[in-house]
Amino acid sequence: MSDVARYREVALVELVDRVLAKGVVLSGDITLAVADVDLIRVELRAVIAAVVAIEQRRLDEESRV
Amino acid sequence: MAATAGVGADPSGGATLVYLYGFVEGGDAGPDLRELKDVTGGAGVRLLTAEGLGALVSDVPASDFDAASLARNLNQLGWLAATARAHEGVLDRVLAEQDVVPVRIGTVYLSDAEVREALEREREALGRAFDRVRGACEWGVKLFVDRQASEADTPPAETTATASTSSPGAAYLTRRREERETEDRRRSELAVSVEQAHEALRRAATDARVLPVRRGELPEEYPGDLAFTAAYLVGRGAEETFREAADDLTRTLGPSGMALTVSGPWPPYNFVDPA
Repeated sequence: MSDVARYREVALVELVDRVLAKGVVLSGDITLAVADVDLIRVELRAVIAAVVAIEQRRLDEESRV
Repeated sequence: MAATAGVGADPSGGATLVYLYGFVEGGDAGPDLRELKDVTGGAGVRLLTAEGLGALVSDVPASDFDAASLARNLNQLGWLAATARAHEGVLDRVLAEQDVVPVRIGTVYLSDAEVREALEREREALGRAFDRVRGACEWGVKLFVDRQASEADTPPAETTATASTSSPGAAYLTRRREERETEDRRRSELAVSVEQAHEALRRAATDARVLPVRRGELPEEYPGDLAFTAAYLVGRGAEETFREAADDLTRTLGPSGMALTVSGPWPPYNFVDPA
């Protein structure tokens, strides 16, 4: 696996980690569906592993073209 | 909590909500907003301004983004990945030109008016957030320990336990003690390496957050066991210095079976809330 592919995998994991669990949380009369982030976290490992697999497949396909 | 009243309507007749990506200072987001892809795949990113701040938003269908739909969609891998990429894509383009305070994914308002009300209500907190991150981006670092390397340097028990002169019981105890000592030594060497790496990176950064290592949450493909993860706030003029510090660490830690990964620049997700 090339360094570039590995870099992108890591970045993708870090992306999901950041957008789901970090950043400003605003209160008020809003629809905040990720208030229960713990629930989502339970499934995060499966999600990330699957995202990485998809990403890798996409990179493989791109490199074959 | 679900948005059921007062929602807008898109031309096709469905109700719409307002998705919030993050904030900028002033009334100009930098790049041409029409070039950005919003979370629905369209070109609908807009800037709402109030109180000297700008909110990056786009209209989204309530059928996908009200509370119940979001909770369901975020647990669908494809939807989450696409939405996370679009969310980040908008912030990335703006971050290339100016400071950004990112908002957590899935922050949705009923209308533009409510976003402006939030800007007014949160003016001071957002001002403090901008004060913390002004002129800087976030970089992520993870430190891995090679699984094979850490197993391979365990001395074979036969060569160290003096089997010929001890009883089997004594040999067993000796072997167990040596295994424990090896494990303790490895652990303290790792702690020293982590501390040195963190110090070196922190010197090149203006702020740092050590993040919890959640074991078992990373894919098997990773270059070892995750030993340390942190986010660093790095001034836009210091990114070269920071990357050089990371490269130096990669070279010095490599021989002891450790690998360092760096990602960035990110919007300062880990630095917008008080420490």
